[in-house]
This record gives sequence, structure tokens and C-alpha cells, in this order.
Amino acid sequence: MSEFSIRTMGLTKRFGTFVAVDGIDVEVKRGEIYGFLGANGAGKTTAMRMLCGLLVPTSGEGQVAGFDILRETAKIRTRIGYMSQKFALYPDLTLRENLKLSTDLYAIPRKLVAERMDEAIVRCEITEMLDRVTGTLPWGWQQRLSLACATAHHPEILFLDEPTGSVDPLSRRGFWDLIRAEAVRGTTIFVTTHYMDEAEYCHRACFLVDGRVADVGTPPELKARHGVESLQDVFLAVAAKARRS
Amino acid sequence: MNLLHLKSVARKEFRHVLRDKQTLFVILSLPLIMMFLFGYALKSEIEDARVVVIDPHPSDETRSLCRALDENRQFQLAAVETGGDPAKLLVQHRARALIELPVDYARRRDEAPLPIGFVYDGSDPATATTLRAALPAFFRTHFVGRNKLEATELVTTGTRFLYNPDQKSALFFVPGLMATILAMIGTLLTSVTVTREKELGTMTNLRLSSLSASEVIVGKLAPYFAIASAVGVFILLIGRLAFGVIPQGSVGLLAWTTALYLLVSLGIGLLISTIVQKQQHAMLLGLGITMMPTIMLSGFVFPRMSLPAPLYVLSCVVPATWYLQIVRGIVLKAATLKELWLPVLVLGGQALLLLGLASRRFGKEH
Amino acid sequence: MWMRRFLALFRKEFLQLRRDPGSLRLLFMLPVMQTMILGYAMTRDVKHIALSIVDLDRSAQSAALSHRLQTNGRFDFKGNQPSLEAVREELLAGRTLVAVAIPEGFAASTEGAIREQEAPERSTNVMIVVDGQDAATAGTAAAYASAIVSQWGTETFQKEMVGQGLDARSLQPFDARERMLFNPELEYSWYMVPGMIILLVTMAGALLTAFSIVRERETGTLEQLLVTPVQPLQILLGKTLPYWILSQLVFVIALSLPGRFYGVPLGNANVPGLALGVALYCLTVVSLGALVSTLVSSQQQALFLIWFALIFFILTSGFMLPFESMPGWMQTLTEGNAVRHFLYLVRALVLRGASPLALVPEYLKLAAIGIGFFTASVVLFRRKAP
Repeated sequence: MSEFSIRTMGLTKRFGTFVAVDGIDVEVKRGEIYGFLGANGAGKTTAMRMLCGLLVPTSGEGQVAGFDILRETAKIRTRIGYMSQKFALYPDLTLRENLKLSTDLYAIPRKLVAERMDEAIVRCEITEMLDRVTGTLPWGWQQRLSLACATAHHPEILFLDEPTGSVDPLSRRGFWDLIRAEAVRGTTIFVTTHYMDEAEYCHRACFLVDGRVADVGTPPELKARHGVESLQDVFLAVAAKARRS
Repeated sequence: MNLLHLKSVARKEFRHVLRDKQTLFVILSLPLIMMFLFGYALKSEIEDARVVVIDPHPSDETRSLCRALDENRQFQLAAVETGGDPAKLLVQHRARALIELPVDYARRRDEAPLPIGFVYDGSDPATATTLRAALPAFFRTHFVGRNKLEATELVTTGTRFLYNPDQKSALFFVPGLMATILAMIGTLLTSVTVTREKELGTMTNLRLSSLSASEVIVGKLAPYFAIASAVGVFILLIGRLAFGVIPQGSVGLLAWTTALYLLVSLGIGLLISTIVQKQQHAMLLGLGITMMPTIMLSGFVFPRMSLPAPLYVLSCVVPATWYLQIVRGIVLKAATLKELWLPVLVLGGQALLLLGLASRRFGKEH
Repeated sequence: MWMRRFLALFRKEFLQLRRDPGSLRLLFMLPVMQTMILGYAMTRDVKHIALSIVDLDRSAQSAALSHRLQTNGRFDFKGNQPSLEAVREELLAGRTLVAVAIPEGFAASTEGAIREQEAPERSTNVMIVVDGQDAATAGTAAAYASAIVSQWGTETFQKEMVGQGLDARSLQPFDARERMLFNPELEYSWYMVPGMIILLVTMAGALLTAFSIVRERETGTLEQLLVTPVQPLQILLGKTLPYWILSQLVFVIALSLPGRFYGVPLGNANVPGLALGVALYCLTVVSLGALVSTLVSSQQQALFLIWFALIFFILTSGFMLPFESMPGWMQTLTEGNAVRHFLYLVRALVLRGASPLALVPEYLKLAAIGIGFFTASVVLFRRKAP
């Protein structure tokens, strides 16, 4: 059990008659970068939100950081960090104020707060604009701030929902450098994206089609299995039978 | 102006508004609730006012007096005490007035004049004023029939109320309700939704499109105009079905003057949206400079003629004041344009001014 | 740790408010300025009543009565009209509100009646015609006119009786000794200004609280909070407490400035009692805002839902129209109306100098409503977020 940071069995979410996530079984190993791939509407974000405790599953079970996602969401929250698709911090506070708030919300021991903050600031490369009001800064800075806030408390697992957004490829790569640095420190990374080239950075990738797991494996495995050169092509092969967009 | 462009903007805005079913529900139920309240639950006449009687020497006569007092529709006997401080008793029994009967009421009842004390709670001036007239009047009728000629019989008065012979309060509040609700939709709803787009950043798309500022403005305002008109018709319908309010005058005149008033409201709403950046500010500003004056100064609830001079001048700036004159005139007095030319002129001027100013600012912003 | 997380949210709210001077300005200025300006507007007192007179008798008597009406301070005399048709024109055009018609033969009839000690066989009925559009105002105006005429009639009667050697006083059934307590000058502003302040502080307080919570939901920051170890209760408290403090502050300022301006006898009031009342009421206000925020998904919806609730509460609270005139079932319904209880409390404390002990029911009801709303909002908030 301690080998896996995340495990789900038959995790399902139904909205009325619409089945967003249809009985998925997922296993994420400690310290790995696990990519959750799929087109828009495939159910990626819904699945992630169930794992974070933001959504109650309709059926199925799961464990995150060793705790049950149905009954122990409070304990899960102390051990995870989360970055949503849209910028979700306070645009009218400065970078520093947002980060400080995060340290309070996660109740990082007071003695460690300054140290953790400094470390996160350096790590996420947001030193220069610390006292600028967040809303006035470009998207890149806001993203790095979100990462800092999500990691200052050294979570076991980091959930990233489409973290790179629609920024240019150069910035995307820069951000992935930061993500990989996180993984090197032992953090499990669960990331969703619809950029198939980003999936190359993952240790393992899982393709979600119509709410179901279509295929799972390391990038080399997947490419070999489908006889293609890129993960983009894997996706096309796998999504050929998709009914949702 | 390109009609197709207009239609596309308007359709998008319409869809956006219709998606918010909860707000639509509120907009429709608000008039219903208010009409229900004004029609059945709220009255400005005093009824069942609580009265305390101090009767130091209870007797059959005093008891029958108290009974008559209680049976009277205007009063409600809260308590009969044998003594005490009137002020304390008024507070204690939450009564509005206190009657002090003399000790020897029974014996002196046929002598005159009998000293009776009337103590009023002046904290509510309206009730106090009414009771100050009503209580002595009650006593006068209670003692009537002792002389050949009563002082009160010498000169009598008869009152006729024109335009509202049954004194139906509905005829009074329905126009005010129209003015308030239409202002609410035209100004509040519009200013908040337009500002919302600014706040969330979805307005910038317009800058990139090929639409002209006027196309955007007309397209955006059109749905609110339509909704407000529909609600206006709805109010008149309910007024007619539930309260029998039937316009004496021309419905057509009512229709286009209402449209004029709506244009003024929309102008204010658009203007507010060009002044503020956040929805919250739009709302607070809208409440302060539109809704409050509309309710307080237009003559809806409080009589305009009692306003001190500076407030009276202020009330002339409030669009609802003029609209109310028009609606009341048409509904109650069958007034025509001949009598209503001034309010119509004022509203027209305000519409031009506000829409023009707002459009110019809106165009400059985008 | 609980306190630390809660205080972090609490501090953040104030920090954000500090960066939003527009809202603060509006929050403080709205009640104060509106009350200052509109305080005099809120009166049910009818003044400057446009009056026209048709004197068809043209006698000394009728002239005396006419003069009495003309010179009364409540009426704005617009002129004598030659006929009933002429006066009808005036009414239609809105140039006059009240028309008093003194019939032909008025003087002869009154003199005859006193001489014969019999009710006049020819009517000395003075006709009062009123523009009835505004039923309440019309009724009041007619009542004033009627009272003046009756008063004149009684005085004339007494003069004549004394002139004939009869003691008029002995024919008067009773001698009314009148005392007006608590507001001897019957200042409407004393009665209305507290209500106006309550109305405005309520609107601003509830709306700002609701908007603040809904905005976080709209922008996604609420979700971000929910993914941390923070509990829904801490979030709600962190949102309502700042506005609870602020609305009390606004209330105090609003009461002191316009209140003093209008001469409202604040000195009467028991200060701790008033402070407790304000605190409890502001609790209901912010809790209402919190409750509404759990029922809506956009700021716009919050605005209209709160407006809807407040209109209902305010109209049935006894603020503008007398509470006792409402039917019994309606009065019972308003037991859950915090505005009604607080309005009663403020008026009792300030205008009647009541002791807080007499108002224990109101305090309890306010507390119950406030706690009820808050509990409901916590429950619903938790349900919306796991």
C-alpha cells in the first residue's frame, strides 16, 4: 500500500444520467509523475476533484496518501497540494500575502514559516515581484505563485489541473522544469493535460476516453503498443472510438 | 447600424439573461409579493390601536365604556389598570394611548364637563395624530344625545373622493410599483450585468470585433428593455385581475410613455456601468441614487407635497416622479397628452441626455 | 491551529477591504448621506395641501369659515373658484388637491338653527371634494379640512350659546386633557430616521457579505480554500465577522451624524441596551447575507434575492406603515422578521427611553433569528462543498 500514493477502484461520478467518470481503476506510484490525458470533457478534472475531496464520488473507492477519499478527506487535505486550471488565488493581495496565507491555512509550524516561504519563493522563481499585487502580474507569474502556494507545506502529492494553460511552448517547458524538480524531491505529481507532448515528461500516462481508462503505461510502452512515434498519435488511436468530443 | 449585428448581440445577451432563471423568478415574484402585501396586508389606516384605560373606581358604567372601546374597530383594549404612571404603562403594555377616567365617573357621568385624560405615545407621529382625533371623537359619540341641538350638528361636512371613489389603495400603489420595479430592472439589473462583463474580462472581446459601439449598446440593452416591458405588462394584468385596476385613459399612451421611462432607467444603468469597475460598486451606487430616491421622493409612499423645498427640487430630478404622474393620470383620470405634456417632455429630455452621455462614455471605454 | 486558520481568513478579508476603497466609501457614505438627505422626505404628515374654495353663500359667516380654512398652516390656498365646474377643472388639472364648497344659504341656516335650537332643516353641509389618487394622503387632507370646518361650527355654536346666556361649557360632554408623551412635537423624522438607517445598513451589510462569499465562488478561490485543511465554518466566520464589525460601526456613525442632525433624542437611550441590540441585529444581517450566498451562484442573483427578501421584511416591519394595521396572521408571520424586532427595539430605547429589561423578548428573538440564519448557512454551505 505504501508503494502507491493514489489508488482507485471503480471510481464513478454520475451527474443525473450523464456518467462523467465511469469506474476507473488508477494506481499512482510514490514519487512518479503521472499524466492524466484526454480531450476536453473526457472526465479528467472530475476525477481529479474526487481525489482531492472536492467532489463526492457516486460509487467506487479510492485512497489518497493512504487515506480513504470517502471518509478521511480532512486528513487527505493536509497532505496534498492543488493547482486548478483557472488562477484561484487572490488577485488583490500581493504575492507575498498570498503565500503567507497559504502557510497559515496549512498551519506550517511558525518556526518554519519564514524558511519555507523563502525556499518556495526561490524554488518557484517569484522573488522579484513579491510585493506586487497579484492581479497586475502576467499569467506566468500567477502560475508560479500558485505552485509555490501549493508546495510550501511540502505535500506528499501535488495535483495539477492543466497547469500550463494556454501559454507559449517555451513557458510551458519552463514550468515543467519546476514540476520535475518537485518530483525529484519525492513529491508524487498527478497532472492532467490535453497537450500530448507534455505527456512525454511523465513517468507514466493514462488516457481517459468517455470517462473510462483507455490505456495506461510509460510513454515508450504506449508508443510501442500502438506502433506510433508520438503520444499524440497514441491519443488519436485511442480516441478514435470516442463518443464525447 | 447593421441590423444583423444588432440581432446577434441582442440574441447573445438574451440567452445570457434567460439562463439565470433564479433572477427571472425573483423579478416576476417581486411585483406579486408587493401587490399582495399592499393589497391585503398593508394599510395606512389605523386599526386595533392598543389603548390602556386607568379606571380608579371600576363600575358598570366604566366597564360598558371599556367594552365599547374594545369593540370599536379602531381600538383594542390592551389593559385596564387602577392606577400608575402613564408613561410606564404605555411602555409596559406597548400601547399607543392611555385614557385616564376620573374617580367618580359613574356619579358624574351626567354632569358636565367630565374631565378625561388622554395620554398619547408620540413616538409614532402618524398613529398619535390619528388617535388624537379618533379617541375624542369616540367619546363624543359615546355621550351623544343629551341636548336638543348638538354642537356637532350645526355644521356638517360630506366628503367626496374623486378618481378613486372606493378609496382603493390598489389604484395608488400599482403605478408606484411599476415605477419601482421597472427602475430596478432597467437600472440595477442592467448596470450589474454590464459591469460583470467588465469585471470578468469578457467585454474585451467586443473591442476586437467589428461591431460599432452603438450596435453593442442597443444590442445589450434590448433584452432588458424587453424583459422590463414584459414585467410591466404583467403588473398591469395582475392589477386588473386581482384588484380591478382598469386604466381610464389610453393604453397606447401608457405603453409608449412606459417605454420612455424604461429608456431613462436603462440610460442610468448604462451610465453607472461606465463609472464603476466592480459589480459590487454598481449595485451600491444603483441602490443609492436610483432605488432609494425612487421609493422615497417620487410620491410613491410619501406625499411629495410635504417635502421641504430643497427635497422637492430634488424630487423633480427623479424620473420616477414624472412617470408616476403620467401613470396615475392615465389610469385614474383618463389624462391625455394635453395634460401630461410636461412629464413626457421631462422624461424625453432625461432619456436623451442619459443615453447620450452613457453611450459616449461606453464608446470611449471600448 | 483552528484559531490560526480562522484569523488568517479574517485578516485576509480586512486586507482585501482595505484594497477596495470604493466599497468602503459606499458602505459608509450610503447610509449616512441618504439618511441626511432623505430624512425629511419620510413623512406621512400632509402639508402644503393645495386648496380651492367655492363660496356660494357669500355671507359674513361663509367668509369667516373660508378665512379660517385659508389661513390654516397646512393648506396652500390656491384661490376662490366661482363654481363647482370651475373647481372640477382645477382638480382634473392637478392644480388643487382639496376643494371646499360652502352651499348657498349657509349663514341663514346656521343662524336659524341656533335660534330654534333645532338641527338645521336646510342642510348646512359643507362639501369637501378631494383628488383621491393617493388614498392615504387624500384621506388625511380631507380629515384636516373636515376637522377645521367642524371646529369652526362648534366655536360658532358656543359663541352663540354664550351670547344667548347659556353656559356652553355645561353642554359639552367632557373636558379633554391631553398630553403627548415621548415626542411632543410629533417630529416624523424622529420616527423615521432610525428606520431609514436600519434599512440602509441592512442592505449594505447583507449585500456586501453575500457578494464577498459569492465572488470567491465565482472566481474559484473558494474551491482553493476548500482543498486546504480549512473548515467551512472557519470560512463562513472569516467572511461574516468582518462585516459584522463594519456594519455595527456604520450603524453607530449613521445614528450619531444624521441622528443628531434631525434632533433624534439619542440621549434617552440606554447605551448598553442599544449596543447589544445593534450587535444582535447586525448578526442577523450578515447571516442573511451568508445564507443567501449558499443559495445563489452569481453576485447578480445574490443582489436580487436579498433585495427580494429585504423588501418583504421592510414592508412588513412597521417602518413605513403602521404595524398594528396589519392583519393578525401577518403580524404573527413577522415574528421571524428581524427588522421588525430591531425597529421596535430602537424606537423603544431612543424615543421612549425604555429599559432594556422591558425588551428582553426582542433581544431573544433577534438572537434566535441570527443564530438560525447562521446555522442554516453553515449547513447549506457544507452541503454544497463536501
